[in-house]
Amino acid sequence: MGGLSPQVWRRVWRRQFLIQGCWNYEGMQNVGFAYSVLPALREIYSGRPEEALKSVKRHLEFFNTHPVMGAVILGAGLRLEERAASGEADPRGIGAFKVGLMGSLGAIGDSFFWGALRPVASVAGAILALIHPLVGIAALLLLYNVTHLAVRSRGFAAGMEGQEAAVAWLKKEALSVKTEDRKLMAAILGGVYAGVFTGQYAVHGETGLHTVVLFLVGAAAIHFVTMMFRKAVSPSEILSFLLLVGVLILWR
Amino acid sequence: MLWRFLLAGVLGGLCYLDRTAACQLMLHRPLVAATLMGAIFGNLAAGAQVGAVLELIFLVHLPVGASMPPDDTGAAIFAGSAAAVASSSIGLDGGSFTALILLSVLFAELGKAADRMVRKLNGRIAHLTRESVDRGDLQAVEHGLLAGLTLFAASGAVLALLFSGAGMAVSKFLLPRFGPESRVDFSALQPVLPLIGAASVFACGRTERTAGIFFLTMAAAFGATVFFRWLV
Amino acid sequence: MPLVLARIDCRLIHGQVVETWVPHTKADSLVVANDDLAGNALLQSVMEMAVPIGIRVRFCRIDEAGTMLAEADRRGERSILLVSNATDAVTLRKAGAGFDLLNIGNLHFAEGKVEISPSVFFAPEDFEALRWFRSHGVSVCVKGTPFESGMSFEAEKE
Repeated sequence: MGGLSPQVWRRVWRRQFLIQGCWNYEGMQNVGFAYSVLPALREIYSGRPEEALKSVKRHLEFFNTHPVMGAVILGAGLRLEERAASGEADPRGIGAFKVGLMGSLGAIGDSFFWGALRPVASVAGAILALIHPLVGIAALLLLYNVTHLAVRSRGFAAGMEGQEAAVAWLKKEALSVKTEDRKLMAAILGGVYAGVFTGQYAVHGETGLHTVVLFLVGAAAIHFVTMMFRKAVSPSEILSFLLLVGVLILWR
Repeated sequence: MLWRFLLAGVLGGLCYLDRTAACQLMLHRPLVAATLMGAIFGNLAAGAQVGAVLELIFLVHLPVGASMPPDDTGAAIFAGSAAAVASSSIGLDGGSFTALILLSVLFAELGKAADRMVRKLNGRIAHLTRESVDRGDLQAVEHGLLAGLTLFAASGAVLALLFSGAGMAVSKFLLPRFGPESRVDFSALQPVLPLIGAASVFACGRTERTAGIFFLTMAAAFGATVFFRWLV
Repeated sequence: MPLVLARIDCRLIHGQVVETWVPHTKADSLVVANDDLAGNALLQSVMEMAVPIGIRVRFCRIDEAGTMLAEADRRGERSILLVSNATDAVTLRKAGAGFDLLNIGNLHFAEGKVEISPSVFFAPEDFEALRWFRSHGVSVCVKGTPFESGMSFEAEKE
């Protein structure tokens, strides 16, 4: 058996972009996952409707991971499914494999994409938007998506090779190291952003002391807000508080 | 005017789809959404101005698992359209800018509540899907996903319409009630906003490791900006 | 303060833990007590990749958790203890794990479970565990991340 046809792999690849299309609290990405693998299951179990049904039901079980990291699980999960269909593997192993990986991959993806890459793209976009809004937007979209699509496609390809290859790819990709790099980059760009904005309030012709005080006030304010975020005060609460202050200023 | 709202609904709905249901290509980021709304309502630059600040403020809140961050896309749709309507030929004044950013929190929280509702309804869809599959209908999976996607898109379009409408209303009726003095008073809060954004980026990294780097680059960029302003 | 957080989370290590609780509690060590995971080197190696650099992670069986926590304590580490279900948490507390506040992050939906929060669903044995904790001086708080207001079940006063 030569495995799934390239057309089917391509359909699964396209469908995975909708893995969160029916996100719900009970099963999270379950419908999306089942939807993504459905074309492959139809081919694997063609002529065996009973087994196809069982398999689809398996994939409707709870599933949640980072949407980009879902690609590697999809690929590897389908390889397992093929082996289960030909009797080489235990179908129960598929669910165990998915559940085992989804939490860890979710954490890796959350840290890398939401905690590191997105801030880098956002702050680079916000800085470059000062030159021209469209430059900022282009930078944001490019910085994020070049890496996003690369990790998605490499992960999917590695998953297609099987679960050992998938894990080997994860080790090689070393996203946790890249996470540290991107966080550092975000800190540098964030510093630039803060510096440029604080610098704009320097008044022409004032003394050096005035300028130093201005910088210290800015840095202290950032430190203070960061501490509040650490104490789990949300940005919405801070802005609401400022709104209240603003209303009081107008009232005065 | 009608076509503008139509466009806002369609494109805003697309931004919302990108947020959770489809692709996550970052089309839902505030910088993109606010600039888009700014362009639709006649001032791209004013939209981008509020978008760039909103882009960073909510970054610290990650969409992890069932924990949902405030709807910064909604905040951007409101603020972007409002900024474009409120701006004049010389741009957006500091007071209005500050007021719009602060007011947008309301929409961020409203959008989050709507998002939660959609996801609850999706639970019903997922349940029905499972039932149909139990009866042997495999296509139900495709229908279920399509239904969820439609729900996300419809709620996105409705929110985009409501929020851009609210933005226009605020800029047409609320902001003009305040005179130039009040605006100057209100703009006293303006410098804080980018700092909150910077803190949000900073808090995303592990602060103990990156604190030195962050404040060093901040000092360097500050120095460079002051020097540059002194030159020209 | 050696044990900074005790948490029940059916997904054990994932984004909510490493991106929100670790910085919030300034933890530098994770102790994952789970019998299934302790015997699965492949899953452990993937889970290790999810942990930020500089954070130590230990995997152990439930009956080894006491020793692991004591070791982390001796080294002066600030640890987060993770278990996947309420029964394991009760076992650990009975064996003397030092926590008076228990966080419940995620317990997945299954047929017949009762919704407590959008991401936490209780089976009958979970209610029993909750009662046991409250009557033994442990407050239970249901929330995914520190940003949520959550839901608290205070310990009963004796």
